[in-house]
Amino acid sequence: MSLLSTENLLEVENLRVSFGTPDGFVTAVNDLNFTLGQGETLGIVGESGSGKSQTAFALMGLLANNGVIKGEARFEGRNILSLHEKEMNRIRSKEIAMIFQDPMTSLNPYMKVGKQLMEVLMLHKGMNKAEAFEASVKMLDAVKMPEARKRMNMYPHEFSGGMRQRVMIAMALLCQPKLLIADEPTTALDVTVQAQILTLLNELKDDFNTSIIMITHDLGVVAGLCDKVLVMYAGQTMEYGSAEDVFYRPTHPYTQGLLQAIPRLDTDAGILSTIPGNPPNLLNLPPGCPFQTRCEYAKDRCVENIPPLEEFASGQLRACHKSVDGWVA
Amino acid sequence: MLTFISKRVLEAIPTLLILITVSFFLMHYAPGSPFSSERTLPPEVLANINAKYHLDEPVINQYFYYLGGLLQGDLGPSFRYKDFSINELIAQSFPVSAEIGIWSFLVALLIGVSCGILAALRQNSWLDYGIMSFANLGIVLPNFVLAPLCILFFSIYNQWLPPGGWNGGAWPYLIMPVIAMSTSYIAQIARITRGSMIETMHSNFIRTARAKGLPKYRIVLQHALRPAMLPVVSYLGPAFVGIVTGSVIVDVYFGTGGIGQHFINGALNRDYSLVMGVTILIGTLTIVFNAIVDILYAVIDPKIRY
Repeated sequence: MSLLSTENLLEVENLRVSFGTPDGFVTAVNDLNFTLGQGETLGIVGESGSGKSQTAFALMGLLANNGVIKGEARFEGRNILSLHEKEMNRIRSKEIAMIFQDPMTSLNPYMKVGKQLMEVLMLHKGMNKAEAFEASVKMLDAVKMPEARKRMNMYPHEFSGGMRQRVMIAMALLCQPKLLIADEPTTALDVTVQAQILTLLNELKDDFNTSIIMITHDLGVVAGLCDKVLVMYAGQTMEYGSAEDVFYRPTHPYTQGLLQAIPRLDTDAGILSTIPGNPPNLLNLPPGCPFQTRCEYAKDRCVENIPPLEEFASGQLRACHKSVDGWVA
Repeated sequence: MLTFISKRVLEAIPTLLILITVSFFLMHYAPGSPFSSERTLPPEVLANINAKYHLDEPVINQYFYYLGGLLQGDLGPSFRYKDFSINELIAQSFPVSAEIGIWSFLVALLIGVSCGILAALRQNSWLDYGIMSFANLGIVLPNFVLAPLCILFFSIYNQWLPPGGWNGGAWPYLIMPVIAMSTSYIAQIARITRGSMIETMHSNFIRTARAKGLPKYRIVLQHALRPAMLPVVSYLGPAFVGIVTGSVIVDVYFGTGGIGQHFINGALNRDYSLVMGVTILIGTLTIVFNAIVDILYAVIDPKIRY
């Protein structure tokens, strides 16, 4: 991989996540490779079930009990996938923090918000109660929570969805982690609130110089926030490159389909563009390219062989038999 | 909170009145009377006794006599235990039941909750299967089987404990009644705790707690225990009443002299006032403990406010 370099904060190599289920072995993430530099933001884009959230859970060591991990994820040179629970607990929240998809259920409804914030600082920074309280108030201020001090004594159900997600973000940033994994942080929120949260993340990214892995199915989120984009489909990488390249010069039929499916208000087309069909069943993947059944360009070789992920231009990778300019003989 | 409690007290009055009325008339319209079962009394004697207890008057009059006494805190004289009032009988037997009950309750809560948590955290392990097998055994094993088995083991095969009696509640006399009483409650509480603990540990906010890097014991004790206790608490209200008002079985097998014996003897002997007294006692306790459960709910769950 040409993108690997020694200054990278995180290097993920051949990450594979599978689950033993009663119906057989399901591979949710298949040979994933990516790197993330200090202060960089990577967007992982894909439909539901494409394995993007499982990638995040694997990195945090939060997979379900039946999950099996292969491959490496070197964080500052150390493979965090092989760490024991105790060692991992020293990294969680302190070095790598995570924001979850559903702020309505991700905060403990039985505990005051302040206590949920303070316990992170008391655990990782060894602060006493008073110090942790002040630091938490400061962080709530940083995520633009109005009346932060008063809200420390409130319970999650007294907050709106957007305010809860601000609490989650504040909680994740308390120890100023080097890496922040945001798993669809705006999916459960109103559109206007989504924009506020994204603006906030963008500002905080610069203030704290945090690297971010932004997991989303919303390409608009990627465009506004990310330096690099990795497009996933059925657990595999379809296209990987700089955000600008992937957006303005998408080369994979799946990426092109996703971009065309963004509804536009400035054209008069009465119908929305969609990618026909459904994602394949991970229990029973077709041989060859996982996207073949929905791809308008599919040919015989797509059915027979899995297209390898290849670098076709500097820093741009794709897994497709079709050449960038069209089919070659 | 104060308004909640006073509201509950006001609500309890009509509930108790209905309970008293229905039980009173059911009792009195059932065939037989307190003095009809044994040797035939001379008619004059029977008439005298009936007149003394107002049994010769219409039932509705008796009902109002009874209510009148009740308002002054008098549960009436016993029809069978001569020279004893119901107040005295209850004052004698209730502390016994309460002592067995409170110990059984504490034992059941402590063992049940810890076993349930252990089983939940080691779900589908041998520990889990072991605990749940014992729990199922505890539920299917009736206490009228367990009580004689206890006596057989602790008193007859090994002379460790006295087979019965009370002796003012000294602890050797307490152990077997507590075992017989608490076993099925331990089992129930362990099952409920296990189920709700497993569910809680799969919730999103526990995932958040894990992502914070908290050690497992803190996740369990500080984040999971409170929500996991909610179903247990709702079970505890009725369970506590059941335990404290005592089981007939324990009183019969161990001769402890608790309240349970009075319930069954009262019903068999048509001892109207005794049955009424025990019914009122259990009814009141049920109302009180359901209110306590509701208050506990509000303490545990910040979304519930009265």
